Formats: sequence, C-alpha cells, structure tokens
Amino acid sequence: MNPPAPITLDARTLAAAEDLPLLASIIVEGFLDGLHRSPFLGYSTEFSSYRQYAPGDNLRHLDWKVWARTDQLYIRQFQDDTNLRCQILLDTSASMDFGADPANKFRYARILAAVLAQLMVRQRDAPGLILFGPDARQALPARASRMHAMEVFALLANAHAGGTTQLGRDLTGITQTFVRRGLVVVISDFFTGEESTIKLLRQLHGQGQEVLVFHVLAPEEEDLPYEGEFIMKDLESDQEVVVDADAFREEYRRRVNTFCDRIRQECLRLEADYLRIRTDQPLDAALIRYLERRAAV
Amino acid sequence: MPFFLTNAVLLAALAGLGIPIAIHLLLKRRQVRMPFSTVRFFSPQEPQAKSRRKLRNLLLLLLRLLIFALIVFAFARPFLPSANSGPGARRPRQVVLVLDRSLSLSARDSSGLRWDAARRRARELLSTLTATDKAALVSCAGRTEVLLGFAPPALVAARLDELQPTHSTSDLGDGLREANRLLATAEPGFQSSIAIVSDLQRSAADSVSAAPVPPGLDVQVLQVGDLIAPNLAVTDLQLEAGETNRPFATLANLGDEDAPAAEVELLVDDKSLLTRSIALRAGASTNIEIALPNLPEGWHHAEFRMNSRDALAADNRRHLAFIVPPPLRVLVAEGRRGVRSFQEQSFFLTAALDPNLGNPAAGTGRFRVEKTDLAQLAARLTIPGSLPTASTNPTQRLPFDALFLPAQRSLPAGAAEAIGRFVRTGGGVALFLGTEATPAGFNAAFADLLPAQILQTETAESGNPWRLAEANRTSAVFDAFRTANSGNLAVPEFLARFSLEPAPGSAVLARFDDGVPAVLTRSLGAGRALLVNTSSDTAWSDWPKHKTFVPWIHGIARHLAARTDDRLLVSGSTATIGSEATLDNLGPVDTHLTLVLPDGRETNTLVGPRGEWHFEPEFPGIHRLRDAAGSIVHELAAHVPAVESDLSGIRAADFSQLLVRKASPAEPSLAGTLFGSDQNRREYWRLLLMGAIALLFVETFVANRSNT
Repeated sequence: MNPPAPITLDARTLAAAEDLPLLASIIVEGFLDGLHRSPFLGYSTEFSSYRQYAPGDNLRHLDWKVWARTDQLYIRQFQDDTNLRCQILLDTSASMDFGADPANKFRYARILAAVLAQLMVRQRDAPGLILFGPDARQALPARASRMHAMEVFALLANAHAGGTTQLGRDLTGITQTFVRRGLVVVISDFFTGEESTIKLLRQLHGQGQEVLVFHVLAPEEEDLPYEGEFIMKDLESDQEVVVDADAFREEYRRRVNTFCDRIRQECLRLEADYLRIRTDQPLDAALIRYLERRAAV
Repeated sequence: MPFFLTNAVLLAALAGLGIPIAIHLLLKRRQVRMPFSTVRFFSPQEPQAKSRRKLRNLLLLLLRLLIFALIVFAFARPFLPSANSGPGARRPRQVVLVLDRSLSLSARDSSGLRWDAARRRARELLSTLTATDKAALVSCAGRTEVLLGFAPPALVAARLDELQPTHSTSDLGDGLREANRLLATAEPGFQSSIAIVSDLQRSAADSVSAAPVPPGLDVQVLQVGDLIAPNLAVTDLQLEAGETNRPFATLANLGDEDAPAAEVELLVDDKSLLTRSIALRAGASTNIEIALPNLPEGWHHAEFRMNSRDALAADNRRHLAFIVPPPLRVLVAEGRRGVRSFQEQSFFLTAALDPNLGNPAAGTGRFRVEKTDLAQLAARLTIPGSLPTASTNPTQRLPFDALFLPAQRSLPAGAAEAIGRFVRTGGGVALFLGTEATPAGFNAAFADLLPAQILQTETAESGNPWRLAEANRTSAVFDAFRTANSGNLAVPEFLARFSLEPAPGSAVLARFDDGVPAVLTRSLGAGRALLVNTSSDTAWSDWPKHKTFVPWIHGIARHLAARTDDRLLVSGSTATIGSEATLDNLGPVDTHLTLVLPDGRETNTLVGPRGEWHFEPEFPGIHRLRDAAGSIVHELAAHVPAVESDLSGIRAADFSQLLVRKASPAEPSLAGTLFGSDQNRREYWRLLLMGAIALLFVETFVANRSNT
C-alpha cells in the first residue's frame, strides 16, 4: 500500500504543508475568520454572574477591577464549560485510499478529522480519534488538552489506509466504551455495507450519542468518468469485475445514488446528521454542519 | 446471366475494404485493469452480453464493409443486358408505324404509285416482326390519329390493306408525338422503335423538330417516291369579276421540268365553256382569264380541269360553286303613246336599265325591265293572288322591285293609290318631273308620297344652266361615283326645274349649284320614294347623254329596291380538305339540312345555335346543302390543299437530321427510374446506391444501440 500522500486540501496554499496540526490550525482560523459574524462564535465559555469570594476559590477568577472600585472581592462565575466529548471515527480501509490527487478520499478524510479536532480544541471540547480498519484499530480517548490534540494530529499523520473495514465487529467493542453522551463524527465511504453501517449507527443512537456522518466519496466514484472497457479491481477484496464504463455509467450512478440515499435515510431515521461530501469540494460545508450539530448538543 | 460493368476499373477501389477493417481493429476495445474503491456497484458482465456485443461489432463491421462495397459497385455501374439483347438472343420488338396518308401519296412516280410503295415498305417492315412482336399504326392525314394500338403485326398488316391516301395534308411532327405517347405508355421489356413511312414532303416535315424523341430510340425513316416529280396544278379559280380583274383560273407547274402543252377546260354546270392548250415552264404559273356568259339566276357550279399526264391528278381540277342573284325587277311607266321609242319619256331610262332592250337571247343582266302604259299601271303593281298574309313577306310577293315614273300630266284613276300601296308594301318609286308635270296635279296625286312639295317651274338663264354641285355619294343613288375618276356629276346641264319645299322626313341626295334640291328621297312604309327634279329625257337636261347617267339610274334602282350588292355573280364558300369550314346564317338552330357530297351520297346535318354550320370536307368537289323542301341553301366547293401539289421531298438522311433527341420528362416509369431508360440493358447502380443508403441507416441504428 502506498504511503499517505502529503496532506493538501483544495487550497493551493496548503499544498505543501506537511504539518497536520499547522494545516488544521490554518484551516480552522481561516474558517472562523470567515464566520466572524456568525452565531457559532458564542459557543465558547461565557460570563454568567458574580458571587462573593469564598476562601478556596481560584484567584484567577477574582475580578480585580470590581475589588478596586468597591473594595469587595467578587468571583466571576461562568457558564458551565464542561468539555464536549467528541469522538471522530475515521475509516482507514483500503477503499478510502482512492481518488486521484488532490481528491484522494483518505487524505481528504484525514484533513477533515484534523480540522474537526482543531476546531474542537479551540472550543474546549474533547476530541477523540478512532481509526477503524483491519489492522489499524487505533484509538485515542476524548480529552480536551492541547497535548491530547497533538496526539490526535500525530495519529492522523501516521495513519495509513488499507485492508478491509470491519465496521461492525471492530467498532462495537470500541463504541461500547463511550459511557458519556457526546458527539460521534463518522468519516467513511461506508463501502463495507449498508447493514453493518446501519448497525453501527443504531448502536451509537442507542447509546444516546449525537452522530454526525460524513459520507466521503471521490468524484470518480460518483460519476464513473471512464470510457471503454475496464477490469475493475476492488481495493479491499481484490475482486475483479469487467465493466463497460460507457454502457454501465447510468446504471452505476443509479446504484451509487440508491446506496447513498439508503444511508441517508437510515441516518435520518436514527436522528443522525448525514452529509455527503465529494472530495473535490471545500471543507466549509462539513465544518458548518459540525458546528450546527455541536450547537444542538 | 452474367453482370457486366461499365467501369470495371473502379472495382480496384474494393481494396479500400481494408480501411474499415483496420479501423475496426484499431478501435477494438482493450480491457484496462483499474483499481477501484469497490466493485459492489458493478455487475459481473454476462458472457452472453459480451458475445452479443462482439456479434454487434462484427455486424457493424460487416455493414460498413457492405456499404463500401455497394458504393464501389455502384460506381462501377453494373448492368444486366436485356434477356434478348445478347448475341444470338432477341428481345421482343414494338414498332410504331407512322404512315403518311397525305394527298401526295396518291402521286404516281416513275416507279409507280407512291401509296403502293408506302404500303409495300410498311409490309416489309411488318414482315420482319415475329408473332411475339407488336406494332401500332399511326395515320398522318389531316388529323393525326392512332388507327391501331399495339397489336400483332398481322393485324396491323390487315389494317394497312384497308387504308387509302386521303386528300389532306400530313404533319409528321404530330405523328411522332403520337408515337412517343404510345411508347410512353407501352409495356416495358420491348425493344421500341418508330418507323416513318412517307414521301417526306417538305411541308409534312415542318414541325418534326418540335416533336422530340427519346434519346436512344430507334427511328427508321422509310422514304417512298421521287424527290422531285413533275406536277401541274390548278391552284385557283375565281369567277367573280372585280373592278380591276376578270374571272380567272391559275395554273402552276411545280416540277423542275418544262411541262408539255396541256389541255385545260372550264365547265359550268357540266357544260364546257372554254378549252385551251397551255404549256408551262418549270416553276411557272399563269392566270387564264375567263369570260362567263349570262347565266340564269340560281346556283351554278364550275370546274376548271387540266388534262395532264403529271404525277398527281387530284390537283388537276378545281371546283367552284357560285350563285347568280335574281335581277332587279323594274317597271317603267310610259305616258306617251304612238311615238317612236326614242321619243318616249322612258327611252333613256329603259336603255340605261336594259341595254339589250329586252332581247332574251342576251340573257339576264342586273335588271329585268318591263314597260307599261299608264292604263295598266295600277294592275301591274298589284300583288297577284290574295292579300298578303302575316306569314308571307309581302315584299317578296311584289311583282316589281322598283317603278320609274316619268312626268305625267295626269294619271288614270286608281294609279296613284296603287303606287302608294306599292311603296308602302316595300316597293320603290322614282318620280321624274318635266314639262308635263304640274305642281297641282303632282302634289294632289302624290300628296303623302312626295319627298317635297312642288311649287313652280324655274328656267335657267340663257347660257347659264344649273349644274349639280353636291351629291350624297354614301347613298346607293350616287354610290357609283364614290371613287375618284368615276364620273363628273357637274358636267350635265339643267335648263329647267321646279322650286321645291322638302317634306319633313325627306333627305336631299343632290343639290344644284344654287342649293335647290335636285334629288330627294323619303321612306314610306316598307318602301321608298325618290323625286328627281328634272326630266327623264333630254327636255330639261342633257344628263341622259352623259356617261354618268347610266350608273346613276342603276343606283336609283338599287336604292328603290334596297339592294346593296350589285354583283352579277357571288361565289359560294370554299374549303380546303383537312380544314374545318364554317358557314353562317344558314337558318334557325337545329334546322335539318341534307348534305349532298360530290359523289352523290347524302347525309343529314343540323344548323348550330347561332345559325352556323361546321364542316370538314374529305373529298374535292361541290358539296350542296339542301333544306327540307329540297331547295339548295348553300353550295361549298372543297379543294385539295395547295401544299400537296409541291411533290418535292427531302432526303431521309436530312429528315433524320431534323429529329430532336430529348428525354421526355413526362410520365417516367418506375422501371425507367430504377433501371434507366435504355431498353437494351438494365442498369443497377441506382439500386446499389439505394441499398447503400438503406444500410447506412441500419448501421446508424446498430451503432447507436451499441452505445446504449
């Protein structure tokens, strides 16, 4: 299997970026700058009220300006800024390693995960990362520290796609460890099969998790823009199928759309948020969808 | 049967068949192995579908090869010779026989009758046909017609035996048109041709170039007769005498050699009136003047014939029917008894009207003059028999058309009344004045008849007589003086006259030089009265001694009789054989008439809605129309066409040069559209191209199916 290509996104300025945290930071900063008037900015920790100082209170929260004016010690109280646990489930199966640069699915998915992690850290949320695949079942629990974020970025930077996805069996054990309610972001092409996907979603729903599904597809997977006859080799199973692309294009598109619609319908039924993303599209839509979902948690 | 190729070299282009094969091989799909994220959306391709696709591709290749090959073969122009066009084989023939039956075919040449030669040539042609061949017969004579459609040759030969040449002209152009029309609607598969049997007269070939024949059609010209034949002809016969010419017959020599003397003869009513010997030089023509005797009134027929041993006998005689109108019946009253004839008042009148003075041997002239004394005047003017009835035209029953009455001192009792009745019934009276006329007596006797009141006598001064200064030359009275140098009316001198008071309704036809009326007229009832203000003899005027007197008196008689035509002889109608003649004013519509042909046969015919009668004669001679009572209504002389007398013809080769070859755009047949108009072979390039186009559509359909 090929090593992961350098992380680039659609922005040309990021084409040479090797540092995933930096890349994620740039993307998030740029994204948030673009949303400076948006209501999403209010989701950070906010001032709530004052109360009389009591011994033992953290002096960091003492309002010195009020003490200077009134000679009274007041402690600034803030809204509960309990960290949101947000688990990012990234599909690392071989089918994700598909698509011509710069629209490779796995690269796109890694950057999406990194950006989401960066965004979570900025919002004092606790990102966690689970890479699920045949031989890459790595997981980082959700924590809110910056160091933990660096671990997430490191794990993403070293992730490789390959093998088949064991979506149902592998993840079941992991997801059963989600004891606190939180947000689960699933990034996958779901080519493992609708049933296992639906089973996973159903389990997460049953655990009371808010689920956000990013269904990542390469443009070639949607359009089948080939001409002539090909022997298509499955990246996961090595199965080969002779395909007359010209003759089969319309039927292929119909089947892909049917598959995606079924996933989407199931997500709707399980109150999960679903977003179908082409890897030739910017991340903005995905981030906005995340923020919308975060606000609802 | 083997195919033949017009451009066999073009078959080398079949080497181009390798091009579609090469393209097929080059563009043959090769399977490329491609990693793909998942194959769950693909269906394993069925072997049957794959083989179907291969089969379809192979079919496409075959179609393209076939299209290419068809186009190449089409350009090579393959054709299949007709079943009977090869060596040793014979295709059924269909021949249209265009037979000239014009009058010139009746001519006798050095080798015999042209008609015999024509039939012999036609039979010879028909004898070359077999029982499977067909022939049609088109007759060119006057009206070109198809006598027999395509039929076995034996039938055409039998029909040929029944035919004779006609007396009309022929138009070989019309014959070609009819032949083309026959061939255009004929059965395919025959070898078609046209055979023209004719003496190729120049006049018959005039419109040949206007009748194009299809290219490739065999037109056989079978010429009969000599190119130039000696022929004399009577080309015209005119018996009406004009002002400048006398009756004549025209003879012409239409040959290229001087003709020996020929006897000519004029027969009127089958009686020989003139015989003469005439010799004509080559190409010359001459008129022979004819002097006709006085003939009784009624229809007559004349025949001018020539006894010549020339080629064509039918034009050696010419007929003419004519009618001698009845003379005007004039009664002249004479009051002087017991004097010599030249002393009578009516002497100059009678002499002017009847120079022969009633001599029956001299025949009838324009006038039949009778004299009467005054005592018999009333009786002579009375209509014989009972009074006229409504169904009878009283004018036709009057005993006379005009009465000339010199001046009289008095009239017997009843004479003036008889004259009045005569005029009112339709007669005419001319009243002359003179010394014996008294104003009172005249005015009293002819009170309502006179065009003017007579007043008193006037005498010219000595040495200064009156003369006529003006005369109405548009009236019949002075019509003879209408042309220049026809007579000077101012010459006669008038010594005495009456002063007159013109009556209302009268017209002054002439005046003296001082304006006093000299001749007046008025209408009364159906007749006319005319007053001459001078004497009828030389007592008051010297006019009877002048040459203008006679035509003036004749004019008075015609005026009184209301007759405008003074011809002694009126020609009947003439018609040329082969052309339609129309006669007018033959009576009410649907009047039954009997037509008597020259050979005595009779046929019934009807007058048309406007009194007209149409007729197309077939034989030369006199044709008579009789009414139910047997009276001759009209006579018509038919003569042969003058152009037929010119027997010179053109050579067959020159005639062929006149033929115009042009494809007829009308009525193309399906077989002709598909296989061409050449009867000898069937061209297949059109079919091949059509097949290629059809396969191109199939290829487009199959190719589109392959991409879906």
